Amino acid sequence: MKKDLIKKEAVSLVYILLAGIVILKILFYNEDFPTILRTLLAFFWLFILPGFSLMYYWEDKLNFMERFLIGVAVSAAIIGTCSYYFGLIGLNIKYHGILLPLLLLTIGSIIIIKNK
Amino acid sequence: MIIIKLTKINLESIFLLIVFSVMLWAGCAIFFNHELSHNFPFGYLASDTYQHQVRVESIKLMGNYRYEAPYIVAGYEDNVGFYQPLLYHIGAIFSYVSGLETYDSTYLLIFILTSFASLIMYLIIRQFNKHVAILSLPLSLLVFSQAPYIGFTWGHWPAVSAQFFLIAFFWALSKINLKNSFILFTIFLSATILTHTSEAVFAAMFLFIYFIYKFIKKDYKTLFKQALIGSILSFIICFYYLVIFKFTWARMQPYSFYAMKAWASPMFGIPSFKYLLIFLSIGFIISLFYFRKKKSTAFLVGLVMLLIGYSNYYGFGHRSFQARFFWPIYLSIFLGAGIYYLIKLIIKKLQTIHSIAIASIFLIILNISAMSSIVPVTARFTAQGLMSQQHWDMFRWFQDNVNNEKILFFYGDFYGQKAILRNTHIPPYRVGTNYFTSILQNKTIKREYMISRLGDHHGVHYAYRKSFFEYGYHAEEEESKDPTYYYSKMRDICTFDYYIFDKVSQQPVFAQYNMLIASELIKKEWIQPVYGNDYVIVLKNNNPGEDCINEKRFD
Repeated sequence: MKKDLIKKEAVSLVYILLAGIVILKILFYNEDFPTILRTLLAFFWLFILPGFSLMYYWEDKLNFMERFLIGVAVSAAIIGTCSYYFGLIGLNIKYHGILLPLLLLTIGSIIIIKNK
Repeated sequence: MIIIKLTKINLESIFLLIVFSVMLWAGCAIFFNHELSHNFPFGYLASDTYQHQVRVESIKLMGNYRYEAPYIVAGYEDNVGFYQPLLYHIGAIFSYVSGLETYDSTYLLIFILTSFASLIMYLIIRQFNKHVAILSLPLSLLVFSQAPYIGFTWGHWPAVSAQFFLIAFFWALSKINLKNSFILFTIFLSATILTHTSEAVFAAMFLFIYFIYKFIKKDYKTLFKQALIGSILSFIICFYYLVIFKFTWARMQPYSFYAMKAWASPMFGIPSFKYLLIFLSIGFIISLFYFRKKKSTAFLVGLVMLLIGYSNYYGFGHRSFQARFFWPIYLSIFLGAGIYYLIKLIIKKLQTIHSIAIASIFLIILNISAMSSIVPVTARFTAQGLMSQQHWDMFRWFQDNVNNEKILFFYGDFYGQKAILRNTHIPPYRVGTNYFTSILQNKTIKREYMISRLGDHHGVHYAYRKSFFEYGYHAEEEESKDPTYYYSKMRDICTFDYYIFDKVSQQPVFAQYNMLIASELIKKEWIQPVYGNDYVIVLKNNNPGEDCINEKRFD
């Protein structure tokens, strides 16, 4: 996988994040900025970055837009499913918001490195 | 050349971003009063919304969903967590990371996932034709028109979010030729099962029809192999929950064929599209000619979900009406195709900018209330919902100050929406409204009232696990011992520890009667007010079982 592509897509993600901040601030103008920022960052951390990194598995067949949008569904699906079972085996849900995205990002990173 | 290409890509991306923003604006920004965080559950219009809100909060507090919280299931501590868990878990996690309360995080998530669902449908349609995809998108906005909007505001949240995964599942099928596509198949099918199992049945129906379609086109081998592996893996992943499902929902509500013409809730139907039906009909007719085309999965999605939306006539009852919540997304292909082929009669060489301009016009029209006689429009309003700040403060007071004691709600305007009362985090009891009205008419104050022991039992009879494959049912066991147990009966109010009275009501006579009973109770020295605000008063009975009230008639 090309280093340039990852760099370019990382920049695109930053642009989307910035656009997201502007859009949320316009739509939810009664809300204070820290809450907007934290909500958006939480959404990125939980539902965008993990899925997007995992979708690099199909980087050669799917474009950025497809991997980005489908990545949200992948993140939500895997995090929700894993959280249910991790909870059942005794890992309190309060840790899932950190551990599960980290786990998925690690797997995503391995995919990216392997695809190189 | 490169610059032109980049501009094209950006134009499309920017349009998607605008559509996404408009969806959030029409869906939740206005509804939430342009706030992300609220001081109390905001915009909750029915009991079911509270059912989900309380369950998410309970999972957050318990740390997992092995059991139902006792205050959800009438005090039982061993009831298995029987509802499909996925939405609750992502709602709770999102709450932790975002800092939003669970009542805000989960609600917001539903709207965000729906907006993403429309974009994923866009990806499916785009495989057929980019212009058609762009022209299709505005129709998605109508998931926030009047009838489908109850899917959000009345609490059909699992059905709505499962349809997000269902659309992702459709996309995965459209990309079945990807390497190891069974992975995506498995992820989305499992998520659908674990979010709302009815939609997994829709997924199976679509898969069956899609397979026949591929079989006729002699292109079925990859689909068969990947779907087989994916289905087996999904079954394994969901096995633990499916066992619960078998002994709860499937036992109490086994599938039975029944036709259902109407629903108690507002229904979305084909006539709801009004004059847009002209474009939709053209698109529908055109779709019949395009079935042989290789990338026409989007047409099949539209057709199958149209049929499933009408399955109330052939055996799926109210579940079909839930599928209709997303008709504006599923059927959007027909609008896009209809407009596209009409425009092609005028403009031979359609460019992206043309499609975006036309789609933008539709996007605006579908938001203009004055157009509602011609086309459906988004139902944009701000609604505080059933909860007030004062009631929420009372619920929070109970959460912070009372443990495992018997609490009794007298009349409150919204207490009939029983899931709200679980916000005390104590199993609630409630005086029956009809009985309350009748004794008010008789002008009497009594010691015994018709009182309901509240809990989420209708689906599963308070199911608990005896072993992995053996279940017991508290409701049935209690009923076999005492047929009057279940679930409303005459109960002595003096046996309760706390009484909650609303001071205000839309029908003042109820509030006055509440206050009359409260004033009789506090005549006993062991009963004292312990909490109050402008809307509600809470009394504490320090001697439960003692004679607490003088029965009498009043003028």
